[in-house]
Amino acid sequence: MSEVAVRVDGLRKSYRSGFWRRRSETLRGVSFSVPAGRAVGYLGANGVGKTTTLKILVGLLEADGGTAEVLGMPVHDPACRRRVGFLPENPYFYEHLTAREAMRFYGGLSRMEDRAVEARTLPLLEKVGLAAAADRRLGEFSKGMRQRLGVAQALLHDPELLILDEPMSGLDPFGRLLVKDLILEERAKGKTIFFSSHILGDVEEVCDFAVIIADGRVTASGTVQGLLGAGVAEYEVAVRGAGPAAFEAAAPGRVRFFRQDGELTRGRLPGDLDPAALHASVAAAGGVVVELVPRRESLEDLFVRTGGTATGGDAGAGAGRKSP
Amino acid sequence: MTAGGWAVTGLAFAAGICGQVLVQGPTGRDKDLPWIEGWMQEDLPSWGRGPLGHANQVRASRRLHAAPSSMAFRLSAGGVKEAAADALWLTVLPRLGRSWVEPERKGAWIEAVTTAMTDANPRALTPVIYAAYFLEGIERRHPAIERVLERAMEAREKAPFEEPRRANAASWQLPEVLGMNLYMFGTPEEKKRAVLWLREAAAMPTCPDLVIDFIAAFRAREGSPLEGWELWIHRAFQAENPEFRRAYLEEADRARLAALRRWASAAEARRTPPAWPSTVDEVLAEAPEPERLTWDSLPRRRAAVAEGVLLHPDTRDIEIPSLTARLEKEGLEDLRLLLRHFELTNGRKAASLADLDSFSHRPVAPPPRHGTRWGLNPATGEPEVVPDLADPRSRR
Amino acid sequence: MKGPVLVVAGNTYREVGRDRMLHLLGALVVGFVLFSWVLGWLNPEEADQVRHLVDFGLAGVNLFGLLMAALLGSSLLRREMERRTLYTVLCREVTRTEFVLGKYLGLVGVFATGLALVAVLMVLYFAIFGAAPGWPLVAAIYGNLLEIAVLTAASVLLGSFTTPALSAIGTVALWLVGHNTETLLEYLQMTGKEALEIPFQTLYYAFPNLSDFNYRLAASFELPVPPSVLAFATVYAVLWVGLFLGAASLFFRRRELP
Repeated sequence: MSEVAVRVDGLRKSYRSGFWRRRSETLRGVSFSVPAGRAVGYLGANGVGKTTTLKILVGLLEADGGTAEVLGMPVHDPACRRRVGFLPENPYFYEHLTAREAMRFYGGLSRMEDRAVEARTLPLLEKVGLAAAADRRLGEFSKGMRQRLGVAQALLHDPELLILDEPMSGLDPFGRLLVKDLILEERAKGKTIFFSSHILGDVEEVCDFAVIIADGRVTASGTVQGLLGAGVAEYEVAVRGAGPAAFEAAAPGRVRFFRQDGELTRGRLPGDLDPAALHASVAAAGGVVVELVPRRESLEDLFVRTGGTATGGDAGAGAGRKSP
Repeated sequence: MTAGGWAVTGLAFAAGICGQVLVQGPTGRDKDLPWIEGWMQEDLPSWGRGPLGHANQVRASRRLHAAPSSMAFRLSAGGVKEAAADALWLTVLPRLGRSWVEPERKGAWIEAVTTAMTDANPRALTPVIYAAYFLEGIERRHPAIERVLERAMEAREKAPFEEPRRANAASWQLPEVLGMNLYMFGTPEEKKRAVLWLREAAAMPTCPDLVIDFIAAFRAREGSPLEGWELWIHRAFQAENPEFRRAYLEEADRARLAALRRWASAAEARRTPPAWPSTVDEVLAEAPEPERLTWDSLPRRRAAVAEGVLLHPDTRDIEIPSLTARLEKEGLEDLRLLLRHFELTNGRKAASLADLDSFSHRPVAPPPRHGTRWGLNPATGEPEVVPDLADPRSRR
Repeated sequence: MKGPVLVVAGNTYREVGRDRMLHLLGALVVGFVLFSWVLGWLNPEEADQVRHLVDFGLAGVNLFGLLMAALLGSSLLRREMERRTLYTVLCREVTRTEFVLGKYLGLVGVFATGLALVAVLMVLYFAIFGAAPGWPLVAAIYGNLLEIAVLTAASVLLGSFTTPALSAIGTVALWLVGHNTETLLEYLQMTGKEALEIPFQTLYYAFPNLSDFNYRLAASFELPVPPSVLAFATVYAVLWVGLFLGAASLFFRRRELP
């Protein structure tokens, strides 16, 4: 097994749309690599090309330029997909099948023996919480149930690499917990997971690495720790008995956010604050510091900072790049 | 090919076929569409001359029931030509017997629909035969009869992966109908052609024996008594089954024998005092002139007629021994079966053949030789051939 | 262990087999076959009555087969793309060619089952009327199956690059032209027009000659159909199906999935 599960270099893809078949470039040279045995998150706003990249990796789309390799084999070689499990965004299934029959169908497509499929079907369905609905027709499934079945079919043939497109969308909190646990479980077994999401908190909890894409290019990639940087990004402060003016005194012009919370005043102050100075200024204003919580930068902050608010494609300008 | 190309192709095809069908003309009565007539007769003279031309002339007439052009009918029917022809026949059938406002158009209409049906389903003979019959009802020697029947006889079919061939090559009905029509209602010239058609019909292996007997009978009236003999031999040579061939040759011998017996009687009457001819040549000299003239050019035919013939002055009989032997054997076999049947039914053996008279049965033909009859051997109980003393021709 | 082609085929078989429209058309065919007895009754000649039964029954099978091939074949791939069900399929080790082939085989399997049922129905029907069904009738229905297979392949090809409506029209046009290529050549011989020679010859060679699958004449007149003819016809059908499906998978591979 190679050390790199997915390697993408200079991937380009453009779509023709509209009556005049105008081209719009979705991917403008995407390059990243996913190390083996890790959980890697693929982040970006809606429409920047996450789904396009994932579809190219699984062979559903053909790139206009650049190379992509999965498990050491080029993407257009169908053999590489034997060990890849894919969950599309909003998966749709054949409505006339029951869950069990659908698993049998997918197992057969993955060239699994019938017995092997039988052995894995019920445990997998139990794992995703669909054991009770194993014999119900897929046409009657809710969106959440379909999502869970999608996860199950991606895991059916025990793939080395899991590529998941928004695995947690459409799920209630229990479902999301389920999926997160599954990802961690698979990672513990040594599998690679590469999934896209725009729910950054989930990515933070589960991933070792993250790749951020905006405006058709990768704007940042690396370990989550590395991306967020060491050190304190900011402090969350709660003060009783003093107003916002106390914050201003401690860090003039750099108070980010404050609100009244009953008798407490809350705010966020930059990370290079001197705590002693803060205590002093608050005491001078006649209040007392109730909370002083250091916070690291979240992915959300990083995201916003690197221009992730763009809607993808032509519009918006990418902010500064942070090299890995 | 792009979507647009497909659409254009499909529309063009549909338009072409619709155009053909539209040009048929009015389907009801009294609808004047002079612009179509003028267009077809003046502006597009080539239409009148092409293969669709004849049908176009039919269609150009007013107050005609709709008749599709054969080509348009086949093209638009696509893969279901046979069923379309059947459906057309079912719609035509009720109208055949009705009287028309303009009866002279009826013949043209019959011809047009029959042509369409024959081209689409060449093997369906019923429409053709009905058409001939109804055309005969309009006019005895309607010119369309010959055209319709010949077209059906010439109609080609192409089986998959094979060469095209005549569909009705083995049909006896078509030449028979044409032959009968020409013979019954035609000029003497046409009668000669009729005979050729009837012979072709009789030569077909599936032609019923009745047809041959009929043709032999009326040709004999015209002075060709050996027509039946010739037809049976023609049949025998076409048969592949040796059993059938033997049966046909036997029928031929029977026909030949009947003719020879009549000639021999004529030869006997001609002599003074009447005496049975002593040579076969004397018998053959009594053949009618058309037959004798044929023998001048075809000596082998004469030899075939005279082959194996024996004259018996004592019984005033003329015999073909091989035929006699076979017929006697068959007659004895029939009698044997009858006697057995009698025994089983009545519980006792018959004492004489007179017992069988009360027993209802199909009559057995008398023995072939003159002056003989069937008898019952009292010792063996078997039937046998015995001389018939009551027969004046028996001299023994 | 079945290959992916057969797995997709089996799934398509089950999916199409539950289609309501198919059941409706099947009921119409059965009704048409039963009704053909009434139509045959209109003919006074008894020999012709049985012949009409066979003719109309087989014509109904042919027309409804055309309809089903045109409607179901043209939407085969489009339905997959619209309902996005093929994402979970194509992400596995299945090439697009295998997918198209599997869907096609499943569809033709459904048609074959339907035709077999109709064949059994017609044989029973004839047994009731006392006419011997005979081998030519079965051969005619088999020929019809080959024709439907070719038409379905053409319909799938057309459906892979145009809308279902246009591809249905195209399939019907193909049926018309395919059955008439020989008639057009005959017309050419009759008229001898030079200008038509090249277009008609082109049509003859560019379109499958569907009259090579037509044994209805043999069935209604009880002529023998030698097995060699059926073998040739099967090979011919396989060639055309291969051509159409190959082109269809080429188009399908280039298709951008939504």
